[in-house]
Amino acid sequence: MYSKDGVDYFVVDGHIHFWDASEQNTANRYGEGFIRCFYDYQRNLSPAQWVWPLEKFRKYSEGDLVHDLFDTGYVDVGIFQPTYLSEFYTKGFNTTEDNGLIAEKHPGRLIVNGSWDPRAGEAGLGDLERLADRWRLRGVKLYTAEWRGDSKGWKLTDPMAQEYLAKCADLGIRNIHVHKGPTIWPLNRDAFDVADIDHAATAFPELNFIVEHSGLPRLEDFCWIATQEPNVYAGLSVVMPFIHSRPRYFAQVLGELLYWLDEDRISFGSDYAIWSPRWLIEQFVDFQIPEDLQSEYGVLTTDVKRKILGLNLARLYDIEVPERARIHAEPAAVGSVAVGSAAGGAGR
Amino acid sequence: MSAPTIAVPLSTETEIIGSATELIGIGEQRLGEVAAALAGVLDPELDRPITELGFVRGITVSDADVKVRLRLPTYFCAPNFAWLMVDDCQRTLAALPWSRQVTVVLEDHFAAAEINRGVAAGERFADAFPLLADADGLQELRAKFLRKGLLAAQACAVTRLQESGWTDIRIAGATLGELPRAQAAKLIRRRTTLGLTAEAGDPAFTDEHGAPVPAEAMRDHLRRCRTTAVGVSANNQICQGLLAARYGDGDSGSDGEVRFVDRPEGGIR
Repeated sequence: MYSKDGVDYFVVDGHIHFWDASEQNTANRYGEGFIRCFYDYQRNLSPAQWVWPLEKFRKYSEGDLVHDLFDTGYVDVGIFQPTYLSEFYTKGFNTTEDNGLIAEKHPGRLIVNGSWDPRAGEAGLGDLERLADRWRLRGVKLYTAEWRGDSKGWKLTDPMAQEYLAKCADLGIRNIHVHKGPTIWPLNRDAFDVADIDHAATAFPELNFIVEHSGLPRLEDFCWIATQEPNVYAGLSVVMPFIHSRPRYFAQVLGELLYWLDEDRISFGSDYAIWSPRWLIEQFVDFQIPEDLQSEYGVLTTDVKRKILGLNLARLYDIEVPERARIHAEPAAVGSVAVGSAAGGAGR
Repeated sequence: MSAPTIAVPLSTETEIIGSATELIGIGEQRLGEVAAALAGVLDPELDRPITELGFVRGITVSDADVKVRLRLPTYFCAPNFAWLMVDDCQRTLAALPWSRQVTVVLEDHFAAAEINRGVAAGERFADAFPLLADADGLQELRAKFLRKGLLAAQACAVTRLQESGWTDIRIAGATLGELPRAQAAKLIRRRTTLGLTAEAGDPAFTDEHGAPVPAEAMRDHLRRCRTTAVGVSANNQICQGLLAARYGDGDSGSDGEVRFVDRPEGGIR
């Protein structure tokens, strides 16, 4: 919980990792290039005091994570988003299993998401069932740029992906986090194209599609889709750290998202350990749209910030929000967040 | 980003290390011609010249042979765009009347070997990446981003017009001929590149295929243009920041190399 000026902000960090990119676990030059790229993201967009030494960045400890999220980072609930990258890292980069070992030590504070890959075929459906059962999955993270043998990626429109999405619906896995990465097949098409999310969101209205990085670098395409599909959400990982070094761009991107999606479908994610939640949250709560952009984008209210920092994801993941952090004035907008209070607490 | 260092050894082989934009004022005609040619190569996704973006790491002109080294913001930058830039460099430098051997080398990229070899051999993208690429997707990809560029440029024009006191109604009905010269020129250039008409009587604000936008849809259209412009700008910010983080501001190329701890292929999985 973060509190400032008498306001309590319940924080759900929707995008955290516990990865291992140690030299020992790095299988090849692709794995090396991948972690270096991540590290450049940290160095590029973080305040200087939040840049780690490379060695720590490659493999940080469970203690680091707990400290940075819970002890100093204001996070009430963190959601692990696994990224396997099995072709790049011998034991995988950031797996549900490794995430789960930590989550079990912090009941109620860490949510474990699963993952699937349609190229695993029918057999993978059984694996997903077991994974869902083992970790009581409420969400999955899909990384469409994952390499697998000769394949360099997949799309949500692939026929087998439909079966996996249907399986998620069956299993009660409602939250589908999608991360668009580069090098998707075929290589000469736009690697970041988000059109397949449109298709999936229409076909599975009972599922929520949280698009990480808000579709960046295809913000505009993402916005058209999200406007038409009420079950498409914007995850602010990668977008949020703009707030420090490029606040004007942050204001513009957030302003666009608020215009096309509205404040109930935008959610915070630090992308820890690329960025640490503490400084992101502190700066976001202090942030305002620059005056000369306010005629275009309006202003950020306290309630908009509360929704983005935690209430929206609390709704998607059925997380109980303490009374003092709930919004009561707008039962229609976030009534289902404050479970049990929407009816009784309205108008308070 | 601060200015990269430039080194011009006083030998018969003229070599420059650094951004090609720094070449202006250097009295080496051929180097100037190489720089000018490279300034015409755009990053298709970011819609800006590779010279402005700092992607040109080094130029060497040796008599009539030209060697250009390119670098990108990340190891995993999309290979299709990387190919287009390497290929465009190759073509534009080969078209210089005096150039003989042209070598364009992409560095520090996961697909550098395939791209460098393929472009040098005059292959098509699909041939360089067998089974991984469609035969003809690359030109459509380029056109798609040129169309985004046209939309973004319209948003910029609207901003300028509003600053000059134009009303929304006047903007919506404007023709290319009515726009201030600078705004018109930008839109005309982009429309021409896309093969669209660019007459004085054409509407200034059109969809990405050049079709007129009905008055009642103009507001939404211009919002879309603005979102596109914000998206392209944000991408530019990310890419420039990543390039600076990867190589350091003003890096001369000596310590920007990524060293890999490559393992035997048998070690995978």
